[in-house]
Order: sequence, then structure tokens, then C-alpha cells
Amino acid sequence: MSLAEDTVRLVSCASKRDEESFRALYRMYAPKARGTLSRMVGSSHLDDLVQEVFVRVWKGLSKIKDPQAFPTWFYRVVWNVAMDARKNAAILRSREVTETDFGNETFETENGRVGFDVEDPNAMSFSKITAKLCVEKALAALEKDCRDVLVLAEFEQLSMDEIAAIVGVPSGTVKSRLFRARADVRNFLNSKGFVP
Amino acid sequence: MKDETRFVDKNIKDRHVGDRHVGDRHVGDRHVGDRHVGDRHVEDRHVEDWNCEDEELSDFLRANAPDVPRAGRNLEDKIMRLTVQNSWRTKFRSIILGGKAQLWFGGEGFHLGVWGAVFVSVVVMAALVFAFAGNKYGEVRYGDVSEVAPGQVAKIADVSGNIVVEEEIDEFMTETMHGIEQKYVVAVNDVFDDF
Repeated sequence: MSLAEDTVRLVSCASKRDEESFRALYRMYAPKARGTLSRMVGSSHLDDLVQEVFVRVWKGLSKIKDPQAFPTWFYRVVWNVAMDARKNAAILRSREVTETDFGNETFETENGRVGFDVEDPNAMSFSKITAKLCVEKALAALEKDCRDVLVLAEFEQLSMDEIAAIVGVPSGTVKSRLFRARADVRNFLNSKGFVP
Repeated sequence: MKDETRFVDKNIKDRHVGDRHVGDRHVGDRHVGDRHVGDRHVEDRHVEDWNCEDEELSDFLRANAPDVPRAGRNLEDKIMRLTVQNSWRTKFRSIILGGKAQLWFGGEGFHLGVWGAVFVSVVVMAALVFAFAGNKYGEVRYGDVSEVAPGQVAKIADVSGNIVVEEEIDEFMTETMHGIEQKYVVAVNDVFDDF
């Protein structure tokens, strides 16, 4: 059974208040919600935001007429939760990476201290950590509208039409925002010495 | 003598084809030329630019996606408690309305739908209300004041439903009761005191 068929079946059962189906749906979509939310609004209060997403999903499940439309609807819920979270200034501030020093082995953000142990063979390489931090900074530096579109397109790999339905703007607007976001991210990465 | 011809000539001249005013909007002028295909403005907004994929950048971003913090301990169970398990609607459905919900009468399975459950609930509630009201005011007669006539037995109760007066009414009481503007006699002490 394909992922789409599986989703349709689970959504149909969960909308009838089947506990196991909803749990399976949670396990399938929670990682997507976590990834999208953390890249849109940061990692603070992530558990609370994911919880809010699934509470809204639970309340709205019975209103879904076409289970095949669930993925787009789900991301729409995630995006709405992200929009609400942005209204909280504390969450916005936590997204900003501060005092990142690429010359040292550790990097400090407001979310906490990120570092690696050179003795640990399983630890990520220095360049890998640097690249991840750079991508995080590049995302944080984007305008919110552009960042949302880029996150949905690049990390969630959604189509233009799906993103347009989620964000509630025409497909052409999504394309232009994505174009702008890619250009800004590329410029940022180039300025830090990365040439993707 | 007034030269009206000159006045007319001037107006026509001002609006003559080829004059400055008309010429400002001529095809090929600066204004029109700004939006000509091939101009800088058009090229900047070319559709193909928006559609182009940047695969190298996409691969780099996906390979170096920022880490997502792990979910807190028992988050899944917490969410399940907040939604499925703690939902009064779910409990209600599981008892009465859900697909498995059945009320058994004489061994026969009987599926009670939503409206059936609502109907039963309303009937039960109404029965409880009437039973309660009956206990309180069961012995009290509520009658149309206009129909009260001498010789009838009036029962008047207090607020607890205890009959405090039970006697045949006479002419005077009848007239008094007819004078009451209420359509129905509320058989409590207050009414009795009005006599």
C-alpha cells in the first residue's frame, strides 16, 4: 500500500474517531510538522507547537470531505500554527542565531550551545556542522514569506500548487518568492565561502 | 469688429494631430517604449526565471538541513490524551453513537443513531423534569380563572406543594379570583393572600 493510500485510509478511520488510526497518523506526520515548524519559527516551544497542530488536526478531521487532500490541509494547519507562533515575540527572538564564530569548535545560539567532540568518531565533521549552521542562518535571514515558501519547497518538497494552497497566494507569487529566496540563500552561502 | 475666426483657429490648432499633446502618446515614444518587449523591465520579470530549478542549491540545503530537536518525552501520549482519549465526544460516541455502539433490547442488536440518541435523551430529560415537577406540585390544580365558579373546590398549595387550603369557593371568592389578571391561578400562598 502506497503512502498516499495509507494516508487516505488512516484519515478516513481517524475522522471516525479511531484512536489507533490517529496515533498512526501522528507517527507519520509529526516529523514533518516538527521539521517545518522548526525551520519556520525556530526550535523553541517546538513540542507545544506540534501539540497545537495535532489538537487542531483532531478537531478538524471530521470536516475533511476528501481524505486525499489531507497532506495539503495538514501543512495548512502547520503554517497557521507557525503564523500564530510568530505573533509571540519571544519565539521570534529565539530564532536569531547570535555570536556564531566559525573559527572555534563550538557555536552558541540562543537555543543553546552547539558543539562537537573531536574525539568522537561518530560526531559530525566540522564542515558539516558549519554548513548546517550556515543554512540555519540563511533561513533566519530570509523574509518570512520567502522562508515559508523555501521551507515547503526544498525541505518538504511540495509542488508550487500545493504551496499556493497552503500559504493562500497565487502560484505565480509562490514562484517569485521562491526565486527570491533561492537567490538570497545562495548569496548568503557564497558570502560564507560555500558554493553550492 | 470682433474677429471670431481667430478664436476658433487657435483652439483647433492646439489639438491638431501631430501637436505636442498628441505626440506625447505616440507609439515609439519614451512612455510606450518603457514597456516594449525586450526592454530591461520585461526581461527582469521573465517567467522562465521563476520556474528554473536550482538543483545544486536544493541538494546542498537538503544535505545540510538544520537539525530538528527530538520530541519531548511522552509527547505522543500527551497529545493522544489531549485529543482522542480525553475527548468527551469520543467517549460519548463510544458509548452511544459510534459504529460499535449498540443498545441491546431482548438480545436484539439495536443501533441507535445520532437523532435516536438525541430523542431518547430529550424524552428522559422531560420525564425527569415532569416527575420532579409532579412531586412538587402534583396535587395543585392550575385552572383558568375565568372558569372558576361558585361551588367548585379550590386547592391552594404553598411553594412546597403542600395543600394549605381546600374548600368550596363562594361568590365572594369567585369574584375575587375573576379579578386577578393572571390567566391561570398559581396556587401558592401569595394567591391565597390576595383573596
